[in-house]
This record gives sequence, structure tokens and C-alpha cells, in this order.
Amino acid sequence: MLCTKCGKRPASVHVEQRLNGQKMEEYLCEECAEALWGFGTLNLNKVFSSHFGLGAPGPVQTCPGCGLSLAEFNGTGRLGCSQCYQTFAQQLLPVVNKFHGSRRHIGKVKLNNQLGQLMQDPELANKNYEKLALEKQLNELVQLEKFEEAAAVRDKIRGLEQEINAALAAARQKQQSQQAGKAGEQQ
Amino acid sequence: MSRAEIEKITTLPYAAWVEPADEPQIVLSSRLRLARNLAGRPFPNRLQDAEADALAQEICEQLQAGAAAEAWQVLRLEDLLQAEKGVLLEKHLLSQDILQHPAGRRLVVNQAQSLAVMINEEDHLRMQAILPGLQLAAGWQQISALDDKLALGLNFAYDQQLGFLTSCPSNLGTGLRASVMLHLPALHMTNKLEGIFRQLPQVGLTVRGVYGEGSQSQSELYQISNQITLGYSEEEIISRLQQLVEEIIAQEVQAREWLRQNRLLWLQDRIGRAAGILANACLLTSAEAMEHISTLRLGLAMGLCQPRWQISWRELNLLMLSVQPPFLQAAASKELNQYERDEARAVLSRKFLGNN
Repeated sequence: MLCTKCGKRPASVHVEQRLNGQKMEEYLCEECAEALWGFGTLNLNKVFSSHFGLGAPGPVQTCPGCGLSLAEFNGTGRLGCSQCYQTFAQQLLPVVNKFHGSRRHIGKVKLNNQLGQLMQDPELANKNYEKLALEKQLNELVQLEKFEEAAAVRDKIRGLEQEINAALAAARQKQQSQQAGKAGEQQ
Repeated sequence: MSRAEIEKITTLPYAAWVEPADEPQIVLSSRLRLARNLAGRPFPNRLQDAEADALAQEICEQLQAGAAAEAWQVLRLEDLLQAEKGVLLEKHLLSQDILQHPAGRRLVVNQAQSLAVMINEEDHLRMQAILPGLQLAAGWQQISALDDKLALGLNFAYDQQLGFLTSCPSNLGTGLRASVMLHLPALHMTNKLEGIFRQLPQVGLTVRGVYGEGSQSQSELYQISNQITLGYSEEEIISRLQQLVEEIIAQEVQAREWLRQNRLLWLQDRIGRAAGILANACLLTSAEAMEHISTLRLGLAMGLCQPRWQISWRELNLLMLSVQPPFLQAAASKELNQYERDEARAVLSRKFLGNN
């Protein structure tokens, strides 16, 4: 059976409407059905954009990375590129904080940055996670004004930091001596 | 990739999670999704089709790099038929979102269909691991290893403060969405479900009904997942979800025991009727089929199914997928109208219940 609206594509959706006691039946293809409704799922992304207040005065700001403006973000709730987070940091961070209850990432770190070495050594990576978790705990304790416990956590963090830094320094030294060794061989 | 190979993924109702993992089968599947983007490139919603395609190619090359590369199958969304897209949606390999604009979009799946990457959905990469039963930690291991491997060749957008950067700030930080699909008929029958679901937001979790409108689900299947992605480590997110799911499982088991003690005859009657309809109906709507399959699942879990119905977990899981419209159409190799679908569904259901 073909769609009763466009008459082109096969019908796959059965629509029944009752209007003033009169029953109307239609068999629509998916495209026509979608055009008919065009709603049904919430755009949750808008939760983010709606916090901004569109009428905020000031110069029109666009992201140098992708050309997205705040107004466009307000429309879709989606950012245009990773640089947007810097461009709109002032407006975004409070909303991120409100949604996640945090503005600090804890967890996996990116490979190939300064911390890359951490991730290659599972033991160090664990220590790093532990440190991040303790930092969070410290924040919570300070907020609850449990200063004695906070001090203990802070000492643990310092201890971990020292261990991590020592391991990283040792790794760096080893790398340098290897490079020096190679250079020596070449000479 | 040949048409025949594509069809193996897009027509058969097989998915990794139909293999039963444990006996009570309260948890059907565990799913982990990781969002990543490439630094310095516009997010997919601001890419031209040609740019999106080039970027997808780059990601595919990195996926296939290295000696121990998986045998990935790459599907271009533009090449897929409407019915095939429906099947992939049902298998949770594609999202509604990516189908809005198929040009420059791809789906990469491993042989077992347990690991997949959607390219250029809302984010450049959406990696997914889907496993049968409650296996969040194992799924995380798989997907994290894939992430590590890709990070060797791809420069992911990352910020020291905010973690991994995503197109929508709701996925920021870990980019991790962990979810578990649960079958909770007894909690529903005992009217305890709503109260439990109302508590979930307090611990940062959300619930969604599967195969149904809103949080109501004819199949009594519910997807529970984390809402918050920033400020907690991946391990914390997973262990919190795991703990809560274990708690819900314990409650469902209690509800089942209560029914056994107090409403046994009523329950046996429901299960018997469900089996009767599935084994004898000539026309079955989707809602009706899902409702009775759900009741039969409960019967199987509680040992209340008659041996002569000859139904196993695997078959029941397969039946649940097979009665969905995209699979019915794929099996018939043509578009079916509602009446034809109801007939095909009944034929299939009778066959699965050993009543040809």
C-alpha cells in the first residue's frame, strides 16, 4: 500500500485521528509521518542552552575555531568544536557545574600529553587516579568543615604526589641517559 | 565490504546479548559508550559531508592499524536500506540521531557485534561495548583498551580541567555512559517499580523504558544509566551503577518470591495464558507480543514454564528481537503493512513455541 499523503512511498505508519467525533484514518510512509509529527522526543541538549538568557547584552561573540555564536548554541544545545569550551568558558562553566555538580574531570587522562607516561605504567596510573579521588574527597571535607580529616587527606595527597613525581623524574632520567647513550654510539 | 557480508549484520536478529549469561536473566545486557572527538576539528554537526567523510576515513584507518587489529566491518550509512537501518537500531548498534543525516557517517562493528564505533554521530567517535548480563567491568576494559589504541594515532580533544571535550556538555569529562538493561516484571506486578525509579535521580542515574512509551514498558524492560559524566572517575561511575543494579536485582528477586508465596495460582494463570496466546495466536500486535514474552520470561526464570512449551533463554531472547518490525520485514525481504506484520509475528511466535 502506498502512502495516502504523498502517494509515492510505501505506507508503514497507521494514523488514526478522532476529530469532533469523526474518525480519520491515514496510512503514511515514514517521511510523511515524521513531517506530520515532528515531535515526540525531548531535546535534552536545550537544558544547557536555556540557562544562558538570550537577551544578555554585550558584543556578539563567535568561536574563532568554528564560527559558532552563542545564539546558535542556544538553538541547538550543541557546541561547534572543542575550542568553544574556551571561547564560551565564562557562560558554560557555571552551567556545567550545575548539571554535573563538578567542573573538574576525574578519571582517565589523555595519552600522549605530559601525563602519557603515567598511563603507560599501570601502577603510576592507579596512583594518579587515587590522587584525583582524594582531591575530590578533600574538597568535600573542606566544604563540610571537617578540617582535621581534611588535613589527613591532604597529607596523603602530598605523599602520592611525591611518589608520582619521583617515579616520573626517574623515568625521565632513564630516557635521557638512553638518548645520551645513543648519541654517544652515533659519534 | 560485500552486500552479503553487510546483510549478515543487518538482517539476522542475532546480537551478542541474546546469549544468556546467568540463570535468572534479570539483567539482559550491559552497555558502555565512550564519546571522543578529534582536537582542532569542528564537531560533526558543523562538518560538510565531504569533510565528515574524510574524517571518518581517518578514524577507520586508525581502527585498522596495528598488528592485533580486530576484523572490523565498516558500513557506510548512505549505502544502507531503510529496513537495515531499522535492524541496526533494534540491535542498539545505531542511534536515531545518526540516521538524521547519513552522509559521511559510518558504523564500524567487530565480528561478534559486541564492540562498535559510530563515526560522526553527535561526536566524532562513539565507541560502544555491549555484553550479555551484568558485565560492566568487562565492558569497560574492552572499550578502554579500544580507546587507548585509538589514542595512539588520533589526537583527542582534551582539557586538563574538563577532561574529554564533547559536542554536548552533558557528556563532558569521561564521555562515559554506562547502562544496564533489566527485566523487572515482578516489581511492576507488586507496584514497587515507581518508588524505586523515583529514587534513581538522587544518585545521578536515569531510567528509560525499552519498547514502550516513556518510562512505561510493555516488555517490563528498563535501561538504567548514569546521567553525570564529569567529576567522577570511570571506575566510580561503573561501580555506583553496579551497586545500584545489584540492589534492584535483589528487590526483583524478593518480589518474585513474594509472588510465589502469595499469588502462585494467579501467576501460573498469567504465564499459562501468555504461552497459550504466543503458541496459538494468528495475529499478534507488537505490544501484545512483548507483554506475553515478558510474562513467559518471568515464568522461565521462576521455573513455572511447562516443559512441553520447549522454550530456552536463547530462543526467548531471539524471539523478543525477531518480533520487532525491522526484523519481520528483513525476514520477509519486503515492507509489510501492520496487518501483515501481525500475521508474520504470530507465525514466528508459534514456531518458537514449538507449534508449527
